Amino acid sequence: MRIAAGTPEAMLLVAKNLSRTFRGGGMLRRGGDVRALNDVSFNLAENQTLGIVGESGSGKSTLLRVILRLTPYDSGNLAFDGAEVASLTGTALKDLRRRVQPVFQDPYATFNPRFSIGSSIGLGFELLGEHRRQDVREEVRRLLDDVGLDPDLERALPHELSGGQRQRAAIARALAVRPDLLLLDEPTSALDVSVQAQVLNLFKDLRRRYGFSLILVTHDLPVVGFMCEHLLVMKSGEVVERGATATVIGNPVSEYTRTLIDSAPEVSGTKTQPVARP
Amino acid sequence: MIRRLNWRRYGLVVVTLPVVAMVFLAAALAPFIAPYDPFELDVLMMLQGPGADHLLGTDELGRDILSRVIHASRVSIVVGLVAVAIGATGGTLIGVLAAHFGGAVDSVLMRFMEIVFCFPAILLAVILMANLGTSVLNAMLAIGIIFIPGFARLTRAVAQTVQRQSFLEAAICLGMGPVRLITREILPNVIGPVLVEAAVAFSYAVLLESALSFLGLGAQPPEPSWGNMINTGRGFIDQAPWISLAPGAALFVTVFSFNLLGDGLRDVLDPKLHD
Repeated sequence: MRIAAGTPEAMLLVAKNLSRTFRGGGMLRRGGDVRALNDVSFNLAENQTLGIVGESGSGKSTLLRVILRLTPYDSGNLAFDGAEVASLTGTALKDLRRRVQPVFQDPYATFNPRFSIGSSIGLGFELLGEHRRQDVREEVRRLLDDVGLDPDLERALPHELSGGQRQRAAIARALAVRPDLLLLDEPTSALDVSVQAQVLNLFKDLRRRYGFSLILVTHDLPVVGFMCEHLLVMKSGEVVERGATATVIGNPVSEYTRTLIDSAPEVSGTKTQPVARP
Repeated sequence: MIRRLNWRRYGLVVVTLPVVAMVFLAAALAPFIAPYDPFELDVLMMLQGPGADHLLGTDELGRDILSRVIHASRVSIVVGLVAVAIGATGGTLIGVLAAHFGGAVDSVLMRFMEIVFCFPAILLAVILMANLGTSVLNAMLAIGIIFIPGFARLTRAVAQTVQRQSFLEAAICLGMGPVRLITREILPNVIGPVLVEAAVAFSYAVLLESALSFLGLGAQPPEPSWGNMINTGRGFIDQAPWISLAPGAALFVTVFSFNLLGDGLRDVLDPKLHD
């Protein structure tokens, strides 16, 4: 089942029967293997937003790391812009690195504590081949402004920023290389509620201006309802449900999705559905 | 504007740094500040107790103890510095490589380190010295080699925690190559603990060198070193305890202050401790 209409060639990302098993146990203990991904297939068209939800251990973070090529997959296919991710080398791999950027969950570990925010954001330009210090600095300041931060924060060390500020700076770092696809791993779950809303709105706003596709991994269904057109529900490494976000949340087919919807916290007496149906 | 000193952060360093600086100065300026020539024999004045002429007394050959203690600090300092440099450089390199590449590289490197670890430090030093020959240069080399596994383990552990942080993955996703990853992302975060360990290792190197000299394997008489001075004093411990006590005290103060400096450095180098 395809998520969006269109031929596979027009697709930015095509995953077919992706599987990844972590070997269990060690030298002394014979443990069971963990199938983190089991026959996962999905497509993502350009400029699309896809939410992946599931509880801890459902394989959603592994899927993200597979797409970033931080961890390999055992079988199946994963094509980014028509090229198999696993077989990329040299400049083709560099190209993938530039075009796919992550924003991670933990805003505390997301920056090297020894370097200023500006220096870390500037890395992207350096790797793009832009070395003139003054140009890089101007670009960094512009990016900080774009994500709603004071450009003077370029000189600040990571620990001097709040969690929300750091997450904005992490977004700036990802955007520095003008990616086509942004992967968000629980980007707001470490932030408090008021800051969460600001960061989510920032993503929407930046998407309009920069125009990137987006995959959002979360256990928070309302966040997906707010951010994503399409939804993938995962459980124990398998996709249990997929479709347009509003349809899935409004009319879940699988038992598991229903449980997820029912367990979402009530906000001012309403369940999560109203968020998904504007 | 004068700000109040943050004692919690800088206290230990402020107190120990002058002592450490004094030891270094004494070593550097030994020929100028020592009241006597450390080699000058004066049999008429042998085994003199501390007094106005010889502040710390004289040894069995009538040599001035204070001058010999000051000159001996040169051996200790040089051995300490070179041994720590060998141990820290080699160990950090091995530890970072093991952590970054993992798998077989990690296993081979760390199993080898554990083998070196199996030998008691002093025994390993004696074995190495027996093969290399007794000289100060070989003492530095032997002590440096002994330090490598400690530094390797430390840096591997620190580098492994860095390895799991998302800033490293973010750097990989920006296309950073392994050399740059190690030099920009990993090493700067490892250098703090390594410096702390280096200060402690320095004191241990001084102690080890003294032990080797005490056994007759380090600096050779008449070249003074704290270890061989303590050893010489052993035979006169009832009549002239100062021969052993003076270098012993110098050894104690040096080792103690370097250990404290190590603790102090840990506080200063933590970027999360605010002023």
